[in-house]
Amino acid sequence: MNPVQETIARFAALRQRALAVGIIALLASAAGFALAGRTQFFQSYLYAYMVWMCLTLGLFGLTLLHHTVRGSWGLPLLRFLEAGAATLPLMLLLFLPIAAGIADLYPWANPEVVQSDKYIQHKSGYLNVPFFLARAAVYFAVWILLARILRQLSLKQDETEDPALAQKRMNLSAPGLVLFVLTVSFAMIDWVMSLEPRWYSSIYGAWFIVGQGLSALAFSTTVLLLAARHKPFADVVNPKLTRDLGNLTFAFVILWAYTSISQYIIIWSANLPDEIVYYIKRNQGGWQYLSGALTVLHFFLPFLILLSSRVKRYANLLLRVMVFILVMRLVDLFWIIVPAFGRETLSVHWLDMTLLAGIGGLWLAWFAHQVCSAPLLPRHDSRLQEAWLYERSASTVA
Amino acid sequence: MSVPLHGIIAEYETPEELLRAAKRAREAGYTHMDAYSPFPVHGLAEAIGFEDHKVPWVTFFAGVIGAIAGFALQYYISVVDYPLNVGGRPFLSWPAFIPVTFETTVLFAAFGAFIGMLALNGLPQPYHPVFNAPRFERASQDRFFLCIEASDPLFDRANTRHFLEGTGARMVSEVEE
Repeated sequence: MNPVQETIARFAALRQRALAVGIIALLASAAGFALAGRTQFFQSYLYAYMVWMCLTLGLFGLTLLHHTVRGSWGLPLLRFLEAGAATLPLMLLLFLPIAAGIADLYPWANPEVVQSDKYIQHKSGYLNVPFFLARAAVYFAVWILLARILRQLSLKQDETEDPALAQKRMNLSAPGLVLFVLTVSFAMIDWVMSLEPRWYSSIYGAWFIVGQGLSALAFSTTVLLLAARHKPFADVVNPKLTRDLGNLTFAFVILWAYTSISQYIIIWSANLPDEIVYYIKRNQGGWQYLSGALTVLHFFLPFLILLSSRVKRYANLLLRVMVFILVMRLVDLFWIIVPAFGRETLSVHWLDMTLLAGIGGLWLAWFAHQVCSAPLLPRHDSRLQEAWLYERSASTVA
Repeated sequence: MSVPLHGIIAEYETPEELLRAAKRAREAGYTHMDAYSPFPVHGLAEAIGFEDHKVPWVTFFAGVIGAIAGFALQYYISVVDYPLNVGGRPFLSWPAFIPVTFETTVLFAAFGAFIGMLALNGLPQPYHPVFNAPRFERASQDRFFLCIEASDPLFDRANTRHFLEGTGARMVSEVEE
């Protein structure tokens, strides 16, 4: 076996292992459905689903961004971004349990709650079950279609080397990015914000999209840096690339903090009863420690670490930062989603974890399968060749 | 012979030649050198052995001072000097202080970077001997220069000149102090 085949074999092994972990964890979760009750099951399910869905959407969004701006930083990542976006059909399948649990999850779908709450009655034109499902269908249709076309255009260029295909992807991605921001904003409002139907925030969509971008960047960089210990990725990872990826992550960390604090300052300043409950819930019962931990560990620590050019030069250092950021993304989504269920004291249910591993196992298996089923690097992308040539000439000269 | 030398300068036609020459000079053991080019050349700073990371640190500490100053200013105004009851909020309402603290951090950091860069480069500098080199005005047009300075421990008028002539230079000349 040549080194490239060995790398493919490693991804294939990841697929088998992830699938096994996923199935075992899902079986344990199914037992939890009977043991802990359906409400707890659906709540944990939504949390776990949103973690992986946010990653998927982030990878899809970065694909669109890469095809639009065509930065050389995205080329070594491209196949991971595409593979992530290609998990959208799986995420559609995994959305079905949420559709089945709408009445357990969302207060606006509970007739008793609606009857006693005039505000929710006024919102029922938008927040009702058929419209909710129809919207979800539209979101998935747009995402899956766009992701599929872009992936096909990219793979086709590997065969035909036709540079016009790159332009075609760009023409699709630029308007696609607009569509992406709109659909994802609405999806996050539907699936997460409506858990607290009286509460609203206009920066919500942007906040989530930035978080998704951060998850996706940290995840794809982690995969790339792990794979870079072997060929062919070892050939494309160099200090210039790690510096670019580190700087992009740095920007996303700042943007996450910016959107988070903007929402907080606006709601805190207005101090209106319908809005401020969001933060009151998250500042008592132990949740306040998580709020503080997120401020320090999700912003200040990565911010200060990524300021250093040394960290961005060495792949092993950057890898650790990326893994840490991924863990913080789990915590951030936990902080956003779980208090909305009315879990008044900070606690982790075992179903949160098994479902996270279950959905994650299936997701990773699908992801690894997609990585295996295409060339690991966009070989015929002229810009990657340029990057290679440039690096080669730079290393012989300097 | 009585005029002291600043160094010996070599002129090249392309950035690649300059990079190659700088690398060879480093390999030959020269440490005090400077390169001049009409545009930034990728990898040139590393090639001439320029390792100075003071500006990022100046910027960082200027930013920290800016953050402290911005927060302290608001604290002094709202808590010490002229406390106002705004909607029953505590005087020390830190969320309201964040935007201004952020702005002063950026402002101080930017000034730190700009002034720090100027100061560390010794700018503004009305006189620099390298401008005595013949045709040096073309360093801002289409030529690339490498100057090995007389302060270099290995510097020798004849040997250094000979060395630079062997690096493919278009012209090698002495630069008077």
